[in-house]
Amino acid sequence: MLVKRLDVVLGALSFAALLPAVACTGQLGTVLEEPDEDDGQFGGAGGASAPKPPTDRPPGRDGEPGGPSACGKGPSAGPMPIRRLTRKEYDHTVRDLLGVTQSPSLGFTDDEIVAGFAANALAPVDRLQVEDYRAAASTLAEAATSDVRRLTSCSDADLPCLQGFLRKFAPRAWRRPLTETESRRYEKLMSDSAAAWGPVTGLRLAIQALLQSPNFLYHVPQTRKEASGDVARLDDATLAARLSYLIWQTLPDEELTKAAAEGVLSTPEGLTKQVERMLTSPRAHDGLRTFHLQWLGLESLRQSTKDPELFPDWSPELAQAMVEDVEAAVSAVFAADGGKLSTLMTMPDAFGDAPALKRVYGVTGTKGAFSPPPGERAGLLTRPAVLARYAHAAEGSWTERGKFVRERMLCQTIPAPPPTVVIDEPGNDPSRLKDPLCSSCHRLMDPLGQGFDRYDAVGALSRDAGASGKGALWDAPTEALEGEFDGPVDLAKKLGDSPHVMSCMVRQWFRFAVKRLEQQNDACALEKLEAQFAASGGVTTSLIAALAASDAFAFVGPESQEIQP
Amino acid sequence: MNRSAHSRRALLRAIGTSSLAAPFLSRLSFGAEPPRRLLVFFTPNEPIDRAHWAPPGQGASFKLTGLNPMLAPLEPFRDKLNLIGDLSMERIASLDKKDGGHRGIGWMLTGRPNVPTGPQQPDFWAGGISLDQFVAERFKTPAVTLGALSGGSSGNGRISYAGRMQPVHPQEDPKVAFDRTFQNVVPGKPGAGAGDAEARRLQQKSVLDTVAADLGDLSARLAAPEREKLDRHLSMIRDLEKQLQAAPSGAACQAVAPKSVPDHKTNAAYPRTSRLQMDVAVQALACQVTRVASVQLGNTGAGHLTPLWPDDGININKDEHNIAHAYSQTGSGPDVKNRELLESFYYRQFAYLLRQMEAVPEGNGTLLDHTLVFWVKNISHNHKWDPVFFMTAGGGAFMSTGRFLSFPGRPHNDLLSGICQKLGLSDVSSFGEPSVATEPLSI
Repeated sequence: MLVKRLDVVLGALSFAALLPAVACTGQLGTVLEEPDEDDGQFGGAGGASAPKPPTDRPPGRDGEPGGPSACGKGPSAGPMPIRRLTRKEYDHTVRDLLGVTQSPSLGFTDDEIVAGFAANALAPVDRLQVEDYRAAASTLAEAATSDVRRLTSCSDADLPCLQGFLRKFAPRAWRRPLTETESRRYEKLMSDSAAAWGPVTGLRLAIQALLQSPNFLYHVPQTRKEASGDVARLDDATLAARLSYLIWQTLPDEELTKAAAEGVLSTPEGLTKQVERMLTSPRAHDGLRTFHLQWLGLESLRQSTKDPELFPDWSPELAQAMVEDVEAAVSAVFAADGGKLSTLMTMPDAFGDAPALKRVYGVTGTKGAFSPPPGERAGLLTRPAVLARYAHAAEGSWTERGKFVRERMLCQTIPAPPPTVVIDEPGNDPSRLKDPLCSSCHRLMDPLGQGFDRYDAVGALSRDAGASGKGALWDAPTEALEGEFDGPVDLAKKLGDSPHVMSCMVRQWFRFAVKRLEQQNDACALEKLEAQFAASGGVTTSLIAALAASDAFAFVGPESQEIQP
Repeated sequence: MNRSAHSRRALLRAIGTSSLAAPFLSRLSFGAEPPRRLLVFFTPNEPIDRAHWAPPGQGASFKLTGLNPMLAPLEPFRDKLNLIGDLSMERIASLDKKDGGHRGIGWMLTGRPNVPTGPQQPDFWAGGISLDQFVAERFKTPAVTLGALSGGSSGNGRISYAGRMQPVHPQEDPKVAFDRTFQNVVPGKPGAGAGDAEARRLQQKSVLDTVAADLGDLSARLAAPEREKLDRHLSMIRDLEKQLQAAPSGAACQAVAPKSVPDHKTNAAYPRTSRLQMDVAVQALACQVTRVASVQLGNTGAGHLTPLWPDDGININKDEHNIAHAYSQTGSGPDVKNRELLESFYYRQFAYLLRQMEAVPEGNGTLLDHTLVFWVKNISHNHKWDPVFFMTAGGGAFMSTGRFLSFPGRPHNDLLSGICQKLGLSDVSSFGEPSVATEPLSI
């Protein structure tokens, strides 16, 4: 029974929301319908392909093989829809291009989330965004050319020197070489403008246009057709950019660009060498931090509101300090052992100098990294940022905390409450765990969230003596996780050691890397990644390396291939 | 209070009483009847339930002689309101493949089921063009789309769409909203001589031409769905180019920029941000920068908003979504009081909007008389889709007002087409999903 449910719950990752108003138990074990045609199109804008969820192979229970392999002959791959840079990618990219340190994307509208991660892959660009891009490009180009010598080492009047700068700058901005037509277009813009308004204005306008061009704003797959099969390989420049945005959240550096130009990335050894180099670069922290902030849902923490009487310390600055604590913790684990899952889940040290953060942790008078009182904290689950994020204004939220663990760490989907849930009469039992309509789902979340009761709405250890901290994970996806636990410190240890959580992390990283949900033709890639991640003992950098070297990352399906002229 | 009196005064100074406003006023008074305009207003959750909303009176249609105590802040505008009750979204709900209690935000202005984009509750975009964008297209006017803390970029947080899966994102920063809305209107930007302005225009044009050429090249290389995305991008670059060609209409209207704008991303500033956005929308309509505007406060459930706003008469340390649910679940005691306090807060915001509009003289009446203000709702009580309660205000110059109208079971699509009719789009006989719509409501 449990095995079967696991199968469905994992299968339901892709389309649980489409099951016809299922309750969370019973039916989940039996209903497994193919989504009808109109529903399946999570990946394609405006009705492209209809990806099928991977329903072929029931993943096994802990340690058991899961059935026949999903891998056939030759690479299989899914779509890579064009997508706009996320806000973070935008900021990092212009930082590396122009040396700006502030965040130009601060005023941009939020990123569109796909499969839990910022992606900007589905909805087309909107008027507001086009205007934002124009305003940012104009401000950035203006600032960059206000001191042309610093940017270019050319003098103001030296047009040929400035043109030389543009020739090197443009392919970096676009993460690929320009075609002849494109080069001519930009040289003309620059020389015409220089003739009318001077060389510096010429460069300024060229930069403005480059930064508003779709070749800058979008990730666009350029492909080359393989001899057989319907998949196509990304060309080396596209692959280099994809690697770079996965691992560094920014554009490729000189060495990676050179490797791409020389065709080195097409060889497994060359690719591995670059990936290894990238993972040891300090920039890899950006990729890891970004993944973890988005996976843990922390990018919006600054906007959380807490009851000012109960939590007078709460402020956007404290929220920021909490987020930085998570980032520093991720970095520390990454530096120590490559980001081992079990360490991420249990490493209790805290980071930061903000007195308000220390008060939350209940320590005083230290600087930099510090150790919270023994036994109170264990890794990501007990970081104040996470606890505060999944909380109401005045108290922790059982449902939110439970849902967070189910969805983000166990990769289960809790259906939204069906519209038939109506509690019309006053006096109905308020408990979501008693009314069967509510309890079928809430019993998966609330008893789990109750286990976090020792931590209040900002993640401090609650002084409420009544808070028991006993929680329970019912209908766990694996026997090892089933049943009661004693607070999140106990739970974190169980999760950190769980092969099921490891396979969930593979899915999360996969989604982060390809910016879409996994689908049928990703099954082979996921199977291999799970094996590689498990073999490494759950080391995140091993997973990233395996992901970066996988067919799923280097190939795209027919829907994302260029039209051959 | 002080704040509102101040900005109201500022607005009057700008477009009612000062000499700067004279050209604007004279243009209007010399023209024919002022044009019909549309303002969409959105607030989270539902207007509680029928008992809190329905006015005293008998029958399916009657003149408003009083309002429900809940609606007290709107009493000064009673004769200008239409309370439109008991419509249904059930049929759209039955066509929508996605589950969950808060999908109506995608249906309410489009009249179509949503398109799911993933397994999570907010993973959807609406399935068609929204009323505001549709009317703007027909009026050939750029819709001014504004919001205050509208939540993330997902179906839960968007009300306006240019088409299926094409969200229109609201501008949330009142300062940027003002600058962009009036960029062709505000005369004399600092340091900008006429020659400079012409050079800037030419420079922008060459930049946009280059970008347009890049978009054309890339679009030609991609398969159909991707090409559509880029073609849409291209059409917006073309719009920006057209905007450059248009002569600045600096003399038409002197709008007043918001002063001391708070951090619009904070919960604490939400009431103030909301009013600043309403000021921008009202001025945009008054100056006829546009004939269609929308102001979106919060999102469908507003779980991210906590009404700790003592200056605005409300101070509850629960989020708005929880307040709504607590009321549904217990139906008594403080949960009722909280829910009523919260809804009153929004009625006061709406009253502020109407006051600002009434302060702008226009033709024989005011801006309010020439604008149909549509307070759109995305859900009924307790996650139901029937009955849904809507409200209009204003438009007295071209429709009768001061009435209660009940249409039990009628799809809300018919209200959307009815609004089009009142705005003069007499050929619009159906709005949204054709199998759901019947015929325009006579409102």
